[in-house]
Amino acid sequence: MTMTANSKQSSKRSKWALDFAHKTKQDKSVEIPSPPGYTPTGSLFHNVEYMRESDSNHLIIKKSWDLALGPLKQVPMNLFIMYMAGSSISIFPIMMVGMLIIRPVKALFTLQQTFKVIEGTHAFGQKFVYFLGQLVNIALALYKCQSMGLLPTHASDWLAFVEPQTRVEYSGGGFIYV
Amino acid sequence: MAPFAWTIRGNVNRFFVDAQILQYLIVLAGLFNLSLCLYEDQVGKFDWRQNYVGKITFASFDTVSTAKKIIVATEENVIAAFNLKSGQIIWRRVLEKGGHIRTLGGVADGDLISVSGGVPAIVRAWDLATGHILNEWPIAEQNTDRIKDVKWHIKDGTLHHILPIYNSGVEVTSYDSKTGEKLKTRRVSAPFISQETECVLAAPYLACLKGDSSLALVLLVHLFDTNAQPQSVTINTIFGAGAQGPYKLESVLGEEPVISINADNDQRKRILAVIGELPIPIQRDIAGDATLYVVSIDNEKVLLETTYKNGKIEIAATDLSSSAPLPDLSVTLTHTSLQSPTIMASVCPRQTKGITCRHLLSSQDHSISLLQHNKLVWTREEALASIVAVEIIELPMSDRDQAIETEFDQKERDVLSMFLRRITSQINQAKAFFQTILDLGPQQSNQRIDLVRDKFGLHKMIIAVTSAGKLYGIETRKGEIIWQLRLPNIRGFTKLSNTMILYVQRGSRHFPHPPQCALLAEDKETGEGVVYTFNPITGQPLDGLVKLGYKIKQSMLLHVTTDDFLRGILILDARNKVHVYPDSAIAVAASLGKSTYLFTADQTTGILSGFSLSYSTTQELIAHKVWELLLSPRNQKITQVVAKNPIERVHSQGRVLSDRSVLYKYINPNLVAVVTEGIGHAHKNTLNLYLLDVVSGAMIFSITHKRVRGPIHIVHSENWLVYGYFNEKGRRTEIATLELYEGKIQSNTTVFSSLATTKLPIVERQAFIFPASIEYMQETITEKGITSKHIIVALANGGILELPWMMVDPRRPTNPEMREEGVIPYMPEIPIHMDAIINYNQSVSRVMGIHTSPSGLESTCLVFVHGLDLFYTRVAPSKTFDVLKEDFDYYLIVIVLAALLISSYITKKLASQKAQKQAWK
Repeated sequence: MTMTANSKQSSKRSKWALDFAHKTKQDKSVEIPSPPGYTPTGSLFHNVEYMRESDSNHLIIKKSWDLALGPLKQVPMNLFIMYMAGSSISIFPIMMVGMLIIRPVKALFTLQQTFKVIEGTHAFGQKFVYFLGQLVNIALALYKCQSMGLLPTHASDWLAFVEPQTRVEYSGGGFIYV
Repeated sequence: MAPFAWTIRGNVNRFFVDAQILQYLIVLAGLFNLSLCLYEDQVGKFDWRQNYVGKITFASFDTVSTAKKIIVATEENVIAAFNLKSGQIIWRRVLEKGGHIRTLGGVADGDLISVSGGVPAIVRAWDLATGHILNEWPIAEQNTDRIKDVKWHIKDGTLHHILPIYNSGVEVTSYDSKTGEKLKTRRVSAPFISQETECVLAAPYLACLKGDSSLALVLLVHLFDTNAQPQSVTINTIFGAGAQGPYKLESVLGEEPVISINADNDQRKRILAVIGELPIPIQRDIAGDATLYVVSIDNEKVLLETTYKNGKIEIAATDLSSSAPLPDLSVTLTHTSLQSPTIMASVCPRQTKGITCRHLLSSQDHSISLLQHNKLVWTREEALASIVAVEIIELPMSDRDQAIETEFDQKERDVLSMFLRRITSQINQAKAFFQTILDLGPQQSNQRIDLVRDKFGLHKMIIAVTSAGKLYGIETRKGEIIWQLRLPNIRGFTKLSNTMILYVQRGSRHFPHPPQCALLAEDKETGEGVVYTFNPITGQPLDGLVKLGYKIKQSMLLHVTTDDFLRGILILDARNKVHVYPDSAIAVAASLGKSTYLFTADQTTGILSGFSLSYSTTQELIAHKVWELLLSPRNQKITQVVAKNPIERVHSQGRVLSDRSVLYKYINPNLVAVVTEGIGHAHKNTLNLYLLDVVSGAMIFSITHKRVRGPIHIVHSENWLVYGYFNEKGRRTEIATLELYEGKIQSNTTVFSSLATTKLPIVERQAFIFPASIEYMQETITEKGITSKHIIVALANGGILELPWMMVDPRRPTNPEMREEGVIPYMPEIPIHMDAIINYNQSVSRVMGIHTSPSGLESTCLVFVHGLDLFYTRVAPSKTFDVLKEDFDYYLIVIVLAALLISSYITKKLASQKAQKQAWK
């Protein structure tokens, strides 16, 4: 009980201050002040808890913004990968482009899970930014596909599905027999 | 150090050279990849060839050589030797096209001399055993206008050229038949010969008939005795009194100088034989339709009279001078493959058992048979050398499949009746099964068991119509003739170079209705149209021969079937009246009137006319002329009218360009290519090609080639046209191609109407040098049109070339920078790769036509080449992408799969055990 009270008291005092004034015999035997720099574990705990209590909101917001801006921060990296991949149709560029497309799509599907831990006033905005970032990534990947000619955007890509024209008139004949 | 550096440089240089060679090799390999070739063990596996010679004109038994054979010359200008026992061709020499063999002789003396052609006549001496040509020399004709009156006679190594000269005599020029040396010229006096005198050669006499009343005289001139006077016999001494003219003189075949005279409108005939030096008339009437042959047996002359009545052949042998019948040598025979035969050659050698006669018979249906002592030894179907129309038809399903088909074909769909039907059909199947086991079942159908449709639709039936009026059903696996039938009294349409029209009215897919084909031809006597309908699988007549009673001008097959899946035939008669055959299809035809058009092209006047049936009522069909076009400016003559194959389907509607846009094809099903040939302005041979829409009569495109001559061969398919011609300027054969495109936008994506489309197509064109002479061209066709197209080209050297259309693509860029995907850069010459010759060493002669037909496999197209020879094979233009290769290792894949399956189970077990062990640790 006393321990807790004392520690509470000491925590109230300045950390680096040495008190030589209160020297009683009881005190000597009982309470020797801790050496400089020593902090009991409990006090440290108290400190962090205190900080969190004071800064927790701020930190959460900061952290979650980090998360939300992650995709946008990836954009330069993706651009570099795209540049390096080249535009030839071979296994590695295709794999890279596949990854570029699949990752943001996957992330979009797991959006709720990612933001489960984050609550706060900014949650909606963060979600939106995160979503926007992933969309930018997808757009980049699609642009890459387009530049590689993988998107069926030309008429020739749909040629196989063009039905033959049905004929209206039927004709026959040739050289006369008689 | 220096030599080392030098070697490095040398190595580098060599490397570059090697790399270049490698590049060439790769390019070469790429070219070879386009074609399809055959392995040695596949020879004869998918293809077969049959050799024919045609209708025989001269024949003789070679009894001199050690190997007995028959030497024949035919109408197709072919000289061949047959094996006496089997009738197989020992050798065959195909002479020049369009020539005629005038005479064949000298076989009895151990050498073979033939005279062919006219100006100059070409005499050839042949080696009897091998058919090699020994000598060839020409005879320059003095009187070129009288070429048809010239008679030839070969005797004892001397060739006699016999020409009757009017009002003077007979000029006989003799040559040494081996060397061509002119021996002597004689003139035998015969002042009675005039333009009207009918003369026949009965060597050594020339027999002439003068006058046609009862006072007519038969005069005999001895050709080799200049001192002899012409001997004359009056008709009255031959026939006695009361014979009516006109008389007809004929030389009786055989070695003896015997002539026959027909009288009383060919009702009867008598013969005049020269025995000793005197002409002796034989006082015996012979039936007018009998054909005669004189054969000598042990110096006895025997007359063979061949008559044909109701399928029975009778060869009556009589002694020539005494008319005593010789029953030992007479033959009576009934055989389906002999139809009014004529003895072309006969030998009767005396053997130990007695006299055995061998007769070589030529029937009216062009078939050749050997008759030996009452027995038919062999028959050759020589009518197949002159096929005029071909169709390839699917075989019907097997009886079991048909039973299943009938079971599910019923209309009602309630559970109980279907269940009952199921039970009954299973009982029937079980019954049939037990019957086959106990071997007492009745033959369910009269057709052969192996003539059923196979899984891939590769086994089909070829229906061949020949100019002799004989029809054949040939199965495609081995080329065996399944059925044959002859239609007497019909002929091909004279204006269409004797072709007949064959339509498939109903295929084999409409069980229980039998498949039906219709043949359109002319009646021999009246020239009016006839229709003959038959079952193409069995050869059984369906409606039989129907005389139409009017002349057929043009015909077409309707595209819509009646309720019993029969497609009617629309016939335009000479008075532009429309008829429908059969009558049950009139309602269908009338309902289609609005969308049916017919066009005619008149070769003599050069007029093309288009008819519309839109004015038709339900009772009557009316053909109304909607357009007319005169296509013969300045001595031009229409030589070709080529439409597309009506069963063709086009899968791809456009062509992808390098910028990934689409150039849409102009696929006009009513487009027809018309070719006119003739003399142009500056008296050069010119060729005009017109692309005509036959519905609207609109001219889509036209092109003129100057200094170009035929024969033109055209292939018209999809949106392109390939035609081959001879370029007189470059003195080479060229192939030109046209391709029609609608542009980058399709004007109407769903329907095509010739009347609504006004925009002219974009035409791409290109010409190539073709390093061979072309006999015929045809494109491959497949069921869905997905497979790329190849062109089957029959070459004059006997090869059949499979030429990828890609090689004659008019969009092959001349500028190599402008490359498109899958387009080879332009090269003026089309190479002929030996790998692309689909008949490898099985040369075919005188190709008259190529018929292509889709098989059940999309990748495969069936090809039937006919001419003097028949050749059948199958081609896969895009390789067999839809079937596994023949040598596919089924066992390996099964073993690998099984091993993988088992190993995965085992490893699963092992892994779980290991996990368990780890968990206990």
